[in-house]
Amino acid sequence: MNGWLLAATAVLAVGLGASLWGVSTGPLGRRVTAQNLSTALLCPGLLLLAQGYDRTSYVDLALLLALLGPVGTLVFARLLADELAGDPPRAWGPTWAAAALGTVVVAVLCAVAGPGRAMVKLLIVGALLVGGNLIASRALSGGFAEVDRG
Amino acid sequence: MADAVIVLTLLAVAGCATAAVVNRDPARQALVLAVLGTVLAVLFTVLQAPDVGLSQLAVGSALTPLLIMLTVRKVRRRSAAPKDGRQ
Amino acid sequence: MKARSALLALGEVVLWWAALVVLWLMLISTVYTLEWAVGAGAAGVGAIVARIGRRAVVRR
Repeated sequence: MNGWLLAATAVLAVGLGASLWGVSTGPLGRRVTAQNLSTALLCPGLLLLAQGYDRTSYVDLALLLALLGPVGTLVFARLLADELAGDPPRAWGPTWAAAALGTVVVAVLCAVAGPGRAMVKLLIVGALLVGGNLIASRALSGGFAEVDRG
Repeated sequence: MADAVIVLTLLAVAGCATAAVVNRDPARQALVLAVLGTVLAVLFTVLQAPDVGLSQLAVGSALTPLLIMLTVRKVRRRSAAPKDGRQ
Repeated sequence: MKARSALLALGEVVLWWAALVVLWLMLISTVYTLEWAVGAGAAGVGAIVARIGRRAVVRR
């Protein structure tokens, strides 16, 4: 068991525990926020797993999750808009913390990978992860209200 | 020691699936199910089956919640209309 | 005027195609001829879809 797998286990333990606890208890707004943050917390874990197993093709899983996770959150933000309108979930603290975790993991892995196509792929995953997370959080807190009414 | 991550994800899958059954509201069940889809993909990755994990991610993280939420919305609208008419 | 708009459309599709081919080359693991062919074909379809999608969004 190398250090990458240990780091992946730690990130996954925090991510799985927090998202599971958040999504199964509490009011609806907190559950949607937890579903959004599960993407942002598990994607760095998948990246670390890919590095730990030394299989670069495993990065595809993180890429797909970074692409589709925010899409799933936007589905909930659109279809639960009426329920969430009264008390829009604003969780910018956890959102920025998750974005910081993703940025740190991607930066470390980029430093290990060195310049090349692998690094560009990691940067694409990181940009999709952080950007999608911020857009989904903004949609949940009612930032795109004019789109919802359309 | 390398099995720790497998045990961890297995426990998470068991807990998430239990939470999906225990919740009674369909919208909340769909939220738990979206997380369960992602956690299952992590489990498949840990068990060295990334191809299965890829298809699980593609279906479980966005498509299944979308179908469930659309169905819930349609059922609620249909069941709300006659009730309002009667009352 | 018609030739100008056709040229603009072609330029946009070529631009989308080039961007998608670069994205494809960044995401694959090893680069060889078959990958180039498949990527160029997929990027061609994607470029046309991207132009149609962009026009559908802008012209509302």
